[in-house]
Parts: sequence; C-alpha cells; structure tokens
Amino acid sequence: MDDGMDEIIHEFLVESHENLDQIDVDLVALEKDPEARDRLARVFRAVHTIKGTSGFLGLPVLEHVAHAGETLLASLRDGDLSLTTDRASLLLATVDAIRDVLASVEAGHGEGGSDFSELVEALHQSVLDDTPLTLPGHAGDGVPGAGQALPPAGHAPETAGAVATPPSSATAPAPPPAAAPAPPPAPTPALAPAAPAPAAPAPVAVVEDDRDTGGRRGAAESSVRVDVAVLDSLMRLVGELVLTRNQLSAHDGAPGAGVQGRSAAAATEDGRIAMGSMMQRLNVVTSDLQDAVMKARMQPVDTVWAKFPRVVRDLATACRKEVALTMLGRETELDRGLVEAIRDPLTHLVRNAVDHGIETPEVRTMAGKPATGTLVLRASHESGRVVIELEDDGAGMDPDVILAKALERGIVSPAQAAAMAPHEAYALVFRPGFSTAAAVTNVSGRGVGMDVVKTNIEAIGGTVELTSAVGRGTTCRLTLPLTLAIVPALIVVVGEQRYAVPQTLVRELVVVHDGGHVVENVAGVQVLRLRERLLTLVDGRTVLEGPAGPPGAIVVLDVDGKVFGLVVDEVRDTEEIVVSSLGEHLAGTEVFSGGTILGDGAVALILDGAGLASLALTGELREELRDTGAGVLTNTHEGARRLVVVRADGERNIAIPLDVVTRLEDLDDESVERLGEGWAARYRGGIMPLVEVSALVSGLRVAGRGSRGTTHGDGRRSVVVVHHGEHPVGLVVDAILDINVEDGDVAAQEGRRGPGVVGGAVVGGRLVEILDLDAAVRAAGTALATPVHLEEVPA
Amino acid sequence: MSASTYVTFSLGEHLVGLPVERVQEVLGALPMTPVPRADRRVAGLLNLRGQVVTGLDLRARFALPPAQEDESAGTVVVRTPGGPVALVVDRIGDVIQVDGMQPPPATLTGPIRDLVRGAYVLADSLLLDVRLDAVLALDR
Repeated sequence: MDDGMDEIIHEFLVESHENLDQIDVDLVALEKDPEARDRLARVFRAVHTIKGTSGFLGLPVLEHVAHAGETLLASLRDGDLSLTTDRASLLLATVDAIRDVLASVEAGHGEGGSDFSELVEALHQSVLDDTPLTLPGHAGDGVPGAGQALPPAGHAPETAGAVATPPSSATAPAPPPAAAPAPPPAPTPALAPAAPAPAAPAPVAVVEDDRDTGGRRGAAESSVRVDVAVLDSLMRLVGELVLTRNQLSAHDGAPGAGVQGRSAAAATEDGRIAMGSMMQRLNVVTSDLQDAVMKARMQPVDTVWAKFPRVVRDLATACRKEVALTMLGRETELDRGLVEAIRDPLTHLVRNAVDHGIETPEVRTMAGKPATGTLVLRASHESGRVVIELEDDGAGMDPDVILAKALERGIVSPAQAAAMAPHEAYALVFRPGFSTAAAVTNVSGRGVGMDVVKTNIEAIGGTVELTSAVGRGTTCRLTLPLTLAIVPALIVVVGEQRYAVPQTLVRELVVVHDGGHVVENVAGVQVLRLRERLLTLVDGRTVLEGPAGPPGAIVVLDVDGKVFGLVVDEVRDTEEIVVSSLGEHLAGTEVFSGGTILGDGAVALILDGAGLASLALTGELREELRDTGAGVLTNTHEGARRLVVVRADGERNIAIPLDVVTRLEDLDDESVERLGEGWAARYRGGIMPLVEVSALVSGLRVAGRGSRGTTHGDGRRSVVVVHHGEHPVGLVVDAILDINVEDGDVAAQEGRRGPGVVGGAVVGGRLVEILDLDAAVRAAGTALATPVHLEEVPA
Repeated sequence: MSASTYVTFSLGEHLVGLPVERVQEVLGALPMTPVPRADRRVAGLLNLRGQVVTGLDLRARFALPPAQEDESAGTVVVRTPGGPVALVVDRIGDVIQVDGMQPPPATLTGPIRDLVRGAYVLADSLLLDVRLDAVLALDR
C-alpha cells in the first residue's frame, strides 16, 4: 500500500477507535435513558461514518457489519423500534466485531478471517422483529439474554486468578436472545471480546496482552489530542527560547563579553550583569517550557474510565447483577504514561468489584440493601498526587475469611495470623499466591491477580490500599505520582560513584558509628542489630564493585514488605530526579532501574529495590541463616509486638506499634502551622498533618482542631511520626515514656475500647491502651482535605 | 559501484569506518559513569546534551587489549532504532569517500574477523568496514 493510503487508513483507525469508545458509552447510557435522542443520533452518525469510510477503503467485511448495525440504528432513531437490552447487546457485539476487524487491519492482516454472518443475520432479524413497543422507561429493564446458565459468582470474596486481560473491550458481549446465538468472536490479541460460552465451565484461554511487550503502539494510543492553547503557549515559549539563545550568542561574540583580563574591568562588569539577566530569563523560560510540555502530556483520567460503563454493564448482565456506576472527578488529569500504566490494574479492580464484590439482587434484597449495587469511581488530586478510589457497596471482605485462606495457602504462619490486625489481613489479598486459578469464573478472574495489580501500581511509584466492612462494601484506594518522569530520590555514594535510591523505598537511615549499631557477621552474611532485631545487609560496595571499607551509612529499604539494609559509603541529599530508561545493552542489569542526570551534569544510576532485595539473601544462605535466627525481616508480627508507649490525655498511657513508627521528633512553634481545619508541620520537604493524641482519645474534639498540642512549656512538643498509609502523620503526645517495650502478655481487654483506642494490654506491669491508628490517620485526613501549595523551603 | 562516504577512526592498529548516514555526531573523550555488573563491553553511561546514552567500549568489543593511558579517546555517536549509542574509540579520523570494497584481508584473525564486512584499500592503510548492527548487538 502506498504512503498516502497508509496515512488515510491510520487516520481512519485512530478516529474509529475514538468513535467506538464513545459508542460504548452512549449505548450503555441509552439503555438507562432510551429517550436521549442526541446520543442515538451520535451513535448512528459514528457507525454511518465507519460504514462509509470502510466502503471507500475497500474493506467489505467491515462495511457489511457496519451496514447491518446502521440499519438497526436507523430504525431506533426513527422511533420504529425501541432499544431493549437485547438490541443494546447486539449493537455492542457489533462494536466489538468492528473493533475486531480494525485490530486485524492494524496488525496488517487485512480484515481477518472472522465470520460475522450470524451477527449480521441477528441484526437484520432484530429490525424485522416487530416486538411491540415497550413503554418508555421500561425499555432498559429487559431480562438478560435467555438460556444463559452462568455459574453464580461466589459470595465469598475471591480475588481473581491469573489470565491476562485484554486491554480494551475486555468484556464479554452479553448474549443476544436465544433466537440469535452470539457470534463466536475470534480472539485477537489486542481486542478480544472473549465471550463466555454459555455453560462452558472451562476457563477462558489466556489472551496475551501485547501492550506490555513495549512493542509497536497501536494506532489509538500513539497519538494524543493537545489543546490548541497549550500548543500556542509552547510555541510562544520556544520563540522566547530562540530569542534568548540569539542574545546569548550575540553577547558571546561581543568584545569584552566577560572575557577576563582582555578589556576594561567596567566592560567586564557590564557583561557579567547582562549575562546574569540572560541566564535568569533562560531559567524562567526553561521551567515554563517544562511545565507546558508536562501539561501537553496530561490526560484526563476519563480516557481510562470511558470504557468502564460498558465493562460494568456487560459484566453485570452476564452475572445477573444490577450495578450502577458513578464516576466522579473524571476530569482529573495525569501524565499519559501513567494513564497507560493504570489501565489494566483499574480494569481488573472494576471487574473484581462487579464479579465478587457486589451481590446478586436476591442476596442484596435479603440483606436489606437496594437491589441495585453501586460502584463509585472517584479521582482527585491530593497533596501533589493523584488519588483514585473504587468503592462498592457489596458484600465486603471478612478479614477472618482472608486469614483462613492465607493460612490454607501457606502465605502466613499460624503465629503470624494470630497477631494480625484487620487492616493487615486485607493486605494479604495482594500477596502472590493468594489468588488461585480455582477462583476463575467465566467472566472474572481473567486477568491479573491482585498481586499483579499491586506490583504494577508500585512499579510506577504508587500505593494501593484496601479497606472493607463486611456487608457494607470494599474500598480500594490507589495513590499515584503525577508523573512517572520525575521522582524524589536519595543520593548515596559508593566508592567514587553517586547512585540514586527512590525515596519511596527508603524507610530510614542509620549512621554507623563506633559503639552504636553493630554490624555482625552471621553465617557469612552481614547483619545489623537494629532495635534488638537483626536486619540483613546488602553491601553496596560489593554489589556496585566499589572498594571495601568500614560502612559509612546504612539505608534501610522496604521493598514490598522485605526490609533490609543497604550499606553505602556516604549519604548525600535528596534530589528530584528525571528518570530515563537504560538502553538495550543494560536491560539485563537487575539492580538498576534507570539512569538520571544530576545537577552537575554527571550521570547517576538509579538503584532498583526489587533487584537489590533479590540479592539480599540467596537461597543457600537463607537455609543457613534460618538456624541462626536472622533473616530478611518482613512486616508481619513475629510473636511479640513492640510498642512505643506515650502519655496523653492527662495520665493515660497510650501504646503505638513500633513497626509503623518512623521517627520521634521534637517540633517547635516555628515549624507548626495552620492547615485547613487542623495543624501541620513542615517535614522533610513536605507537609505532615498533626493529630493530637489527647484530643483523639478523649473523644471531645476532632483531633488537630483548635490546639497545637501540648508543649513542654518551651514551645516544643513531642511528636511520634508514623507511616500508616501513604503519608506520614505526626502524633502529638504529652511525653514519650518508653520506646521498644515488648508487648509480653497481650492481655487485650475488650473493655478498654473507646474513642481512638482499639484495646488495652498490660505491658511491663502497667496498663496501656493501644492507639487506633486508622482513627488517627482519618483524623489527619480531615486536615489534609484542603489542598495546600507551599514553596519548597531548603531544609 | 558508486563511492560511499565513511567516518573513520582508529582502533589499536586498525583503521575502521562507518557509513556516514549511520553516524549522528563525532565527539572527543566524554566523562563516563561506569555501570557495575554490566557487560564488560559497556564502557558506561554518558550525558549527551541531557540524554542518558549508553557507551560501548569498542576495543573490548573487538577483544583488543585496553587502551594505553596516552591514547586519546574519541566518541562516535551512532543512530540505532533504540536511540543513540556512543562508541568509544581511540582516535577520530577523517571523513572520506571510498569505493571498491574487497573481502576482509586474510591477515585479520580473532573475534574482529566476524565483525568486518569488507575492506577498502587506501593509499597508506586498509579501511575496515564493520557490521555495525552486529557490533551493537553484543551477541558474539
């Protein structure tokens, strides 16, 4: 095919993909509101366009299918027929068929070999079918296709098994009426509507997602729409840049332009001043240009969400459930690289919520809930990150059930399970091996398991959290960086070289000095005694081929729950780095995730947490270490819990689990300021909300409101910094009594429950109450609800 | 057979050429950040006007002994489908026009032999035409 034709085909593909996505949205909306004439007209026009263009481009199969769809749409538009669920399903199947052909065209296989004659027949049949007009308003209430015997989705919450979800239109078209069997769509890698064969118990075949291979981008995602205003501002900035460049080169060639010792000192001085102002302009233009380019790359989260109404509709129909999807904050923008990265994990979560979260209408009615379940997608910007929440009001998840399942699968030991708090149990569903293929139903369970969701989200520097209430529903919260390209990192030195460690992995820094922390050798592995626990060390000097020597500092890293220490020579500062990927020649180096250019122009490698963690302990070493009691620590409790005991609310002793405590701080009035309704402190270049523990446990006031916390009379206050969730939170206490006491006899006393506490225990002969961390973080969240922008202050 | 234009550089005792259309630019010695645990033929990473570029040590690639201290190094940046790649060479030579490729000389032995497509006889030396894609692939 000549280039001109290629160009036209490419245009056609891009445009058609956009149109098809819109048709999906419109059809689903039309089902609920059949009277939306404008939507119907839009769908008709889009299909008509595809039909016309395919005729012109010589794609007879496509033209045939589109024509049949158009005929039905014309009758619907003219009011001769009404849109029933069956007809909507047929039209959606038509959309899938068109996608199928387009994918094949895009892959260079012509129109593909799929046979759509049955679909076309069903479409024609549907037009001739003189079903009496259903009353408006009832048009969408038709029962799902007959003869559909799907296994009912289990009420026990399940996470899905592992089969790859195709990235788009991943759902099965609902079966058309029994009179017209659904066409068996040929699975194509990119856009397979893998239909569940009715009553076929076999799981759907694995469909590889070719989007992950980093191969050629499809026509649809290789182009971005950019606002003309953004383009104009880019052009203006580039013009300014050219101007500054010209000035600089003119200045450079001018006599006495800062060349020292060749001209009068005055001329030199003038030159320097002129140079300074030009540098300043260059600086401003550069950062404006950076912002503008970032803006051009931003896309609303809606580009991912647009297909969810269709996904939910099809899946709900197939599972015989009623689900209403609400999407809030659709205009929230994020970098297009992220948009691609969250597409699959989000789709999986949505499917999971419909398939396993929301119950069937009968079950819901019995439980006293409305028959229609609700699914809410919420996106917003919070403190420089993007937060996406997916909330369902389904059956929820019972931590005990999860624990039992994790025990059964051998993910946790009985001892660990006994010590687990509910929120820790929820985290178990993200563990590899928790989901099994046995949980695959026909519709869900295709696709990545929850562990893959977590891995994918964390790979882009995000976090994922799950909270649930039995009978009330489940909420999944994703927190993502605004952009993939710029991350805060800690710069460390090993030998002669500087390396960057992503800040998200760093848990704490330990400076090694004599008599403080002792690095010991256990079975040939270096370990560090840190707060009475043994921490496995990875010697950066060995890994990074630097000269050996006494350890300078240890960076404690937390990679996916594996905690280990990285020995480096020196720790420098944190820097916002721009990440570039390493070329093909370095693809195999597992300990580096990329490269970056530091302020002085030198290239530094970015260390990869997972790669380092895999070096932390090799198999045979682990065997030896097991006998000596050291090991890679995990974040689960092993036997006794350790606590920090503080005093608050008069003479009460409150205990905070040590494993969430990152630092103990003394903050003065200077660093504490109003934030929304509460107080916050500047902390490590960010903003940390403060929660007054006294207020929290006395239950009198909303924490943080009104008071800055008790001070010691010298304007300073003790703060325990905890990491529970994605942000640090500062707990303001009256005094810190004891650090690292062992919770020897966990005499959990139910009677001690109260506001802000989850129980009591006797520790070291005194009664302490255990702080409710969730309540503390919630209280902090109210303070964070108002977005703040602070200028960076050098620490 | 028409004449083709080559960018030349020296590598040990050899004079090597690359077709000019594959070469993006020619630079002097650049500071490299070594990459531990990488293939020893990777010289390191360099900052090419704000872009992180992999540098290959062409001496190591051709299994030649490491360069002596006094041999000034040059950098040839070539275009590849995956972006620019820098080749660290001994000394940058001239850009010349040649024609009449010969088979590689029989005297050429060792790993370098597989990487040479042919040779051009110049007035005072022999210009080796290397298979750039094979050199970049690091597979032999």
